[in-house]
Amino acid sequence: MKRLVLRSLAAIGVLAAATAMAQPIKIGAPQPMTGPDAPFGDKFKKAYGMAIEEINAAGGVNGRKLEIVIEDHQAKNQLAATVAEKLITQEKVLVMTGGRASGQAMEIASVSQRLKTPYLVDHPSADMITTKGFEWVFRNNPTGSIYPAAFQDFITNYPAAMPKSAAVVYDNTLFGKTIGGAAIKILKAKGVNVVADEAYPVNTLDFKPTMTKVKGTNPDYVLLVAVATTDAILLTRHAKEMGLTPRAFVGFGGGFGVADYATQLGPLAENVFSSAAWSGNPNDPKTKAFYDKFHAKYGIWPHEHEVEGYSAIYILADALKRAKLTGNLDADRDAIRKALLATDMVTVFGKVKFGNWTGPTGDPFTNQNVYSPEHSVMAQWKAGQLLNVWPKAFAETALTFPEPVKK
Amino acid sequence: MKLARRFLPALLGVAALAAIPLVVKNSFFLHVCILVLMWTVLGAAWNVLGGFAGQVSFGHAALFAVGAYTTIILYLKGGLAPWWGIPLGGLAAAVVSLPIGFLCFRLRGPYFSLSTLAVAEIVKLVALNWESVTAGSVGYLITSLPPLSILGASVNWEGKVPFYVAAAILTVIALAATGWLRSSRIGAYLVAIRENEDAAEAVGIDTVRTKALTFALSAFLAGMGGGFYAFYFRYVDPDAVAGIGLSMEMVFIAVVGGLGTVGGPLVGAVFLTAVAELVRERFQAGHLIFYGLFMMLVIRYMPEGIWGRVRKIIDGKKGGS
Repeated sequence: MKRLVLRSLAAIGVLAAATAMAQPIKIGAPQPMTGPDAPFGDKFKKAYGMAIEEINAAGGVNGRKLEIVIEDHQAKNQLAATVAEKLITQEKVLVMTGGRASGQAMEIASVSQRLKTPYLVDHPSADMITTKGFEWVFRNNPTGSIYPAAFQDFITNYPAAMPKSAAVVYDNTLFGKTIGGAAIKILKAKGVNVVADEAYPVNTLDFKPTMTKVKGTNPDYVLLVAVATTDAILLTRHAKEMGLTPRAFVGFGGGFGVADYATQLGPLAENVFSSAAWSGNPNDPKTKAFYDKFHAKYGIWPHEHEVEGYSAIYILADALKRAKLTGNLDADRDAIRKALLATDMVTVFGKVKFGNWTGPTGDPFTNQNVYSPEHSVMAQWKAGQLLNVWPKAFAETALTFPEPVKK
Repeated sequence: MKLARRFLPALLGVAALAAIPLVVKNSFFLHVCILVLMWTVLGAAWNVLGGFAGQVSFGHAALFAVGAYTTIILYLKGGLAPWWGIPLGGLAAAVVSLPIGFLCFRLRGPYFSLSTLAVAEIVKLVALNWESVTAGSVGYLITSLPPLSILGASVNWEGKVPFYVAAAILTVIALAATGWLRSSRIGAYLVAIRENEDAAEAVGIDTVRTKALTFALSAFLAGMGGGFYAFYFRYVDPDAVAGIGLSMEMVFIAVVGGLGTVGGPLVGAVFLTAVAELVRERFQAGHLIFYGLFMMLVIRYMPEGIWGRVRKIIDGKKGGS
């Protein structure tokens, strides 16, 4: 009798362990699903969904399925902290990703650090997220100060591209200031005279006074930073209308990379450089295959958000595969953190390996992708199409420089 | 006896507040409680001015921001612990409110409201551009809190209880201040101003001075709320603490709870924080619709607020029997 009880107890034990192992592995992702940023939340939802579907169809991670738990933070910092807390303590997710905007990601990073849960940042670009020594926070994508890396490479290595002088005009958001500041730092390090350093508020309607001032300094290069598309369009239009003729216009930030930019500006957009966000190397067959597959599934072409979200799930799956999961939440989270530290792989976004290093503006990074400086590219508008032109390895077409002077 | 009846609800409330962390061990539930208490303080701050004095401010986020920045800067730059920083944040907001009140209270009704909206926007722009002090759009992040021990036991800042206690103390201060105001001479002045400002002036009330003093008290509470936010959420940037959304939420809480009542802000905060959280959990996509619908129903059918309606029913029964 006693033996029977013991045996059945043992059987129940094994069964319980087996069901525990068969439970899906939960990944938490706070995203803006409603409110002004909702379209971005939707992009990530699609990207995560596709990656998880693929991984689960291929047998999951060590036999366990992956599950993404998305919570809506409405682009509010306070809610981001609340849902991060909820995902970690209530949903008991093993690992976090997502965030979308930097303010919300700061809160998620802060909560994840305190509650000892690994957080893989997939899109937010504020440098501060990985410069505060948070050992539980990892980032695959480049930070704001890394964005101008391709520009730096271009002026250094392209024949006769070194600017004689430069004007830098940027919006006063965190993103705009970080990129503007990093670009100025790069230029000054190269001994370039920065003749104009102008900040403007987002959604400025008239850039003519600014551009008149810039024209007076006769810059060899004009660097423009704009998060908002209307700012990017008006900056370019007013600069050209005021008769600025630098050797190159270089735009940074989302505004310079969207289709509206070319349709609104028409011929004025021609040959403007856009140092847009990195969304994988289009010459890599695997990345290209992903673009096609994503397009076939959802009917839209993936950009940086989709590539980042999709890659994040693969990075986490790789770490989960290597981590020894025991069923003890705290131990498992630590095992995943350690596995992430040993990450060394290639995704559709590019190479990834987390490390501690010094960023371009001198900040000490913790667990920031060491290949981030390679994830920067310059593209150029050619007949309404934005094509990568620099560095050569990622180029889709030949570049036009200097800008031909029109009569 | 009369005294006991007057203070009984308050004592019961304090006892309930003290009991929550002893009973509840779930950290997420405590987090929601902390949010409710923080919003109670903010709703009460707005209510002092909007509910009692009838001065509708759309710019309380400015005072919240002054408090949040004061507390976080004093801590990060001066090493001043948050339990000193939070009251100082309140004080800073009160000081800032004086010139604002001096200017804006010359305007009445909707003109006053619009001017507060402008003030909030100015404060946000200052926070964004005064980089040497506010760190601009980069903002400030607290990575660790100072060690503190009470009665020999060190406080665990990773847990929720210390923050809950801080929020509960602020709530008691805010509600006690409102209660005191209601029964004080100034409270009577305020009601007079709310009902008819010209008449109030005619009977000899210095309306601008009374309003400015009330604004200072309101600012003090909002500033402490901001200081608490900085200390609890640990990250302060202009969007997070000086946005218009914040000003609006303070108005909603006071209005839904019950304008010009002591308990109103607490009731409003419970409904708008806890109920919003529940609805969000049930309906991923449509939760904002429910939130809006709820607001509309309350304003349409209970213009005196939830707590205001409850009071009316209780008082009505008393009167009838």
